[in-house]
Amino acid sequence: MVEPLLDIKDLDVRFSTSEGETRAIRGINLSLNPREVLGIVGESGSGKSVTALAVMGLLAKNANVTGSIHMGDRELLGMKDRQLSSIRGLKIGMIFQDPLTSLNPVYSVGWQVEEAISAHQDLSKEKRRAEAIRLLELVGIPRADDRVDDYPHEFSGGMRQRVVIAIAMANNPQIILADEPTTALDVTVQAQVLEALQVAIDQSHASLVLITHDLGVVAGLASRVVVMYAGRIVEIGTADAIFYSPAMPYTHGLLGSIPRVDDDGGARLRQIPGSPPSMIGTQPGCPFAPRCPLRKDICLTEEPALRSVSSTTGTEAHQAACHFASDVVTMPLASMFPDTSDDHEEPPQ
Amino acid sequence: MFTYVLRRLVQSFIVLLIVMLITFTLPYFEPNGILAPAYIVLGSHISPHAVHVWGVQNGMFHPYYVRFWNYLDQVFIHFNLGVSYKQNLSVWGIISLYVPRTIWLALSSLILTVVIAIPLGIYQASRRNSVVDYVATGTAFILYGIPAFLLGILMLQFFSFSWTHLPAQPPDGVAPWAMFTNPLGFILPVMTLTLLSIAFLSRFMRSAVLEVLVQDYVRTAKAKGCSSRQVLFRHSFRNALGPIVIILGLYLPGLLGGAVVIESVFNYSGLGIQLVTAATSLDVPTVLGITLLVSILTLLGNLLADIMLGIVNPRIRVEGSGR
Ligand SMILES: Nc1ncnc2c1ncn2[C@@H]1O[C@H](COP(=O)(O)OP(=O)(O)OP(=O)(O)O)[C@@H](O)[C@H]1O
Ligand SMILES: [Mg+2]
Repeated sequence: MVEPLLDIKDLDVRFSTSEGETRAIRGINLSLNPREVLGIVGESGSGKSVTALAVMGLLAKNANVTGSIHMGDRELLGMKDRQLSSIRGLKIGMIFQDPLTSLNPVYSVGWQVEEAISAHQDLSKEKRRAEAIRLLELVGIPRADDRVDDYPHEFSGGMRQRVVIAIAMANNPQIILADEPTTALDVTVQAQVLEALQVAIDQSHASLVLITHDLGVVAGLASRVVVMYAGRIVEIGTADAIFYSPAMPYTHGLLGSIPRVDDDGGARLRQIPGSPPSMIGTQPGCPFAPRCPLRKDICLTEEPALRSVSSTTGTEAHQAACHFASDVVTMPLASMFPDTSDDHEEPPQ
Repeated sequence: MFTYVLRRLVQSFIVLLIVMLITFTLPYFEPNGILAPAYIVLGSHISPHAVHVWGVQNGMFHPYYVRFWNYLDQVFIHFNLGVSYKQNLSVWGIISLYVPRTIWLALSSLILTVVIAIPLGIYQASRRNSVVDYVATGTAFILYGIPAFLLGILMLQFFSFSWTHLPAQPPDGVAPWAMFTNPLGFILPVMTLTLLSIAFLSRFMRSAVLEVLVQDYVRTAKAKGCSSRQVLFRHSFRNALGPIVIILGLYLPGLLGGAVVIESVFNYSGLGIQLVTAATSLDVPTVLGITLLVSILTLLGNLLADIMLGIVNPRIRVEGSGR
């Protein structure tokens, strides 16, 4: 087996807030292999961003983090800010959700890419500028040498996100964390930005962690997918396993909520009824039980552990946290949740 | 940028006219109307005839709008602010005599304030809720709550009478360079005004930096691997500068107002004392002249702040020149 690039063990993140302690991440184990694309999906508030920010050491001050995050033989958790900044940008690059706010309005885009370069490399002024232009070209900024001195407000959202991608790949990091890189963008621009992301990982030979609440986005890129719910991993497996034989009712629900274009031209959304549990305190049983159509008595009293799914797909790495995973995995897709549209929808591919 | 400055200049001029109109109109509300100064200039027992003659001499019997028009003509066409009723001097003479002293007072405390308050605010923001932050915040609130004259008196009490023996008042005479030949006497007034301004400005600097620190682009900078020092100065400070420049521009009148009060407490003979004396003795031309000057300085300060803001923030620069 290959040595993982990043190894997260028993990660637990609590925030102290005025309303009490929010348990945002509840014991996550996850490893990232070299040169893989790992998708992380889940509804809003499931802890996707918090996981990524914990890796970067960028969580807010009110966060209390336990567990371990190993990169090679270095423990990232509890590292001093000074040491962390030698990893940020150099070993791990990060892309954020909102390209409109993630660039500093008072500096030119070129300056901001150059700053990323000079944080870790000693280059002459001219070389640095040339490198910034090269990076901007790579991510698909047309006439990059003309536009390098433009300010962020002169760029569209999609263009700004490309700049952020250029910044993230500037030092050929081993890992790129992309936190909902396309959520804030127009559908038409999304594909282009994902393409730029693909270029970035090809160029720097990086592994990509692609966070999104849209399974459609990971479908094309990810080789492995993690499904998060209420601060836990509830299912993990190859993209094939997750998309074709999900073993957790929540994943079934997510698959059903990929909007697809119908014959009549309207996008239909199958929704999971109910909402995620409160992140304050702990309820007994499976966190998804209150919304689960297959709920049995045991689901309300005992929390299921993340276990290998013995199924027809038979992959060892397919794990799910459901008491009835081996039954769920055999169920046809999109049959579990009531259809919110009146006509039948095909299962997503 | 040029059209922007031009537009702002025109706006400033209109504001100036409004200010002049108001100060020009106010004397009409004196018990004896605009003839009231006659009783102070000539003495309170003068005959109605003498008052009438004084009124004719000073053109008081023209209609209100004619008088205002004449005043505008006198100020803007002939650059003449008139002659003081009280002192045997032109208003311009009074101003040129006293304004350097006030400017020295205001300017030196403004510079001190910027030099102290901005780093203090940044430090407080980067060490939020530390002991230093709490102490500085508490002190600032107390200073902010104290009226200027009271702080001046307290400073006198502590530094001049009790602890050290700093001169209680600056040397007399109107030479502005006395500040350099005899700096000791200026310490207390300058210090008092500086403390008041710091109390005001460091709060803004702190909150401006705090606001910037939670912005997404600061997180991006950290994610690049910038050190916390680089994040603080390149990103937070630079971005907080915009609001601070605005605040400074808006604070200028406050600073001049503070200077006026400080001047009376420390008997520092500058424009402030002249204004107060002129106002209490109904020396209308002097009051009008000094008000006009302070208004012009204030408007110029604001304009300067806006131009600097354009330099600091490329977005405003573009919007300004785009129209
Ligand atoms: N600084 C903080 N203080 C308190 N609670 C926080 C803080 N940051 C995150 N949380 C909480 O942690 C939980 C997980 O948040 P997170 O941002 O990881 O969600 P997410 O999965 O990224 O959702 P989204 O799709 O909306 O981005 C949420 O309940 C959120 O309220
Ligand atoms: Mg998020």
